[in-house]
Amino acid sequence: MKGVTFRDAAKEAGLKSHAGKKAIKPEYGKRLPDEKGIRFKGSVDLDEQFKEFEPNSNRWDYGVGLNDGKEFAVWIEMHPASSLEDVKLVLKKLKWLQSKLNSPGFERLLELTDAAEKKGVRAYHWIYKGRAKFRVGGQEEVLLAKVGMNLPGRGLRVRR
Amino acid sequence: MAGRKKSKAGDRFRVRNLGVVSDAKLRLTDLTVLVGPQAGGKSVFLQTLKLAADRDQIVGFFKRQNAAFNGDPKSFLDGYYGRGMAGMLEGGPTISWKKGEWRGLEDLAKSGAPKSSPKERLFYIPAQRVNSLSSGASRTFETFNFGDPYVLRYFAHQLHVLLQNDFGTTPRVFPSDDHMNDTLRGPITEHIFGGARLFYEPSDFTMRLTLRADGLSEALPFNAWSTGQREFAPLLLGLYWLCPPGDRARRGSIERVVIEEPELGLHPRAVSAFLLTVLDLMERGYKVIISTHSVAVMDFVWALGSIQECGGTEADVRGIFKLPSNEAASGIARSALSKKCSVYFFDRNKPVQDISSLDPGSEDEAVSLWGDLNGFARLSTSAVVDVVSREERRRDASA
Repeated sequence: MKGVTFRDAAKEAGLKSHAGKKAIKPEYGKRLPDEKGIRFKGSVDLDEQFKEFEPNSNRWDYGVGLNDGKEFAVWIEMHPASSLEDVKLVLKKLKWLQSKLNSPGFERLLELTDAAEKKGVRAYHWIYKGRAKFRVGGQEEVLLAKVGMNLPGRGLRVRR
Repeated sequence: MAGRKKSKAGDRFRVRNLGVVSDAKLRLTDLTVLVGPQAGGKSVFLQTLKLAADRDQIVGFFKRQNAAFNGDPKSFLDGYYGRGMAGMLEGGPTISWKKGEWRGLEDLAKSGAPKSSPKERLFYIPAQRVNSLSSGASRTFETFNFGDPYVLRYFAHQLHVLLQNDFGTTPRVFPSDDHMNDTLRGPITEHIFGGARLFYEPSDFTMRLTLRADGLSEALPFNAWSTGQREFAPLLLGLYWLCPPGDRARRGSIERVVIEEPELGLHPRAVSAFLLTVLDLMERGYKVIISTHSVAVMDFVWALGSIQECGGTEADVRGIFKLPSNEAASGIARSALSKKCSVYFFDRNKPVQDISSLDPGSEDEAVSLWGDLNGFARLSTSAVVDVVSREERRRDASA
């Protein structure tokens, strides 16, 4: 585990990774602000890479490698947060992502994902654009909690 | 999220150093909602608003009840807010109302009685309203003790007058053809009284409120009702007082209505029945101010604001209450679309915060957690997220 980097783990899974946040579309750049003591080490665009082979799957958007002295991975889905249907779709995408992470070749990415959870960082993040229509304590939050996710936020916040 | 409009000077009310309220600056919109923990200063703030709006009428009423404060502000404030509350004066509380200058609360309390009969502008339904009835019988102002809050004593007096005048010869109080339309009556019948009927009739040689239900041989006495029914009955009578029978939309010179904790004892469905009556009050032109600990009230404000913001229709508003499409329901819903709402968070010893956006995505937890009303829900779901994540890690590790 020691010394495993996100970019090495992505390569092992057959994914094309980019330095820092470069895999993230520029329009979403501001949604991933820098946090003190945490560096973006690499990123992958899952949606783009699996589009050709799984055009009809509910594909998750991005993976990001972060380092606060030790490398870990978080997974980011950019999606509107307008209705219960959005929640259901994101849950399908999460299922797809977790299926990938449990596939052969993805072991190290899964280890980096677990490393995030172990340090109290949520591994799966839903970031929305526009207006959020979910309230705290609502059905949407309950559904997400049952799969270990928080309500969507406007941007990535690693530290809670 | 809640609608905003340019505030007029007459809509502004501000207090400083009033007990635990260090600074509160509010715009009173069509619907203004106050949230915050117990002892956060909501009630003392609202009673001060009543005092600012109706000071001369209050002084005059005390005088007619033979109260003699002799210009002593401490006695007056103990008589008005409740015994011991005059201690607030030590903080040097000041208020600013409408276009007026800052004025000390002490000055407001010690000025002489008015020469003419001023008009009452603000109707107050207090949180302690269940004490306005004694085993279902109405109470007059003088049956309370000196030091019981004026807003409770005066509310009880108003209910006494209403029951004597409107139901002395027509004993059925609810449902009543003279009060409320079917749109408002239906949900109250279903969600609060469960089909039972409310009467004002002799019982043990005293005129009392009773409930009559099918299948029961005798009327149910007040103390046998559910807590929610006991809490709601005086609230209902307060609404009757505000909405006189006939063509008059409003009662006398009343412009504003304060309703403290309307949710007391009520299931969220019953709260929604009450909220419909709030829409009716707003359609009649009243400005309504509610203090609450109810998420259901906040759900409504949030939903109405969202509907307004997204260009929703009266049908969307009716959808909140599952109302059918008819003239009365559509009228109330259409009116609601044009009403402006604001929400303020009263936290102890902190400046009162405008959280009207109720934005669930706000970084400011006072806003996203709706004045901490959803704080416990957030903690609960966070605990579930933690345990689910831990379990997933355990499963991954053992796979």
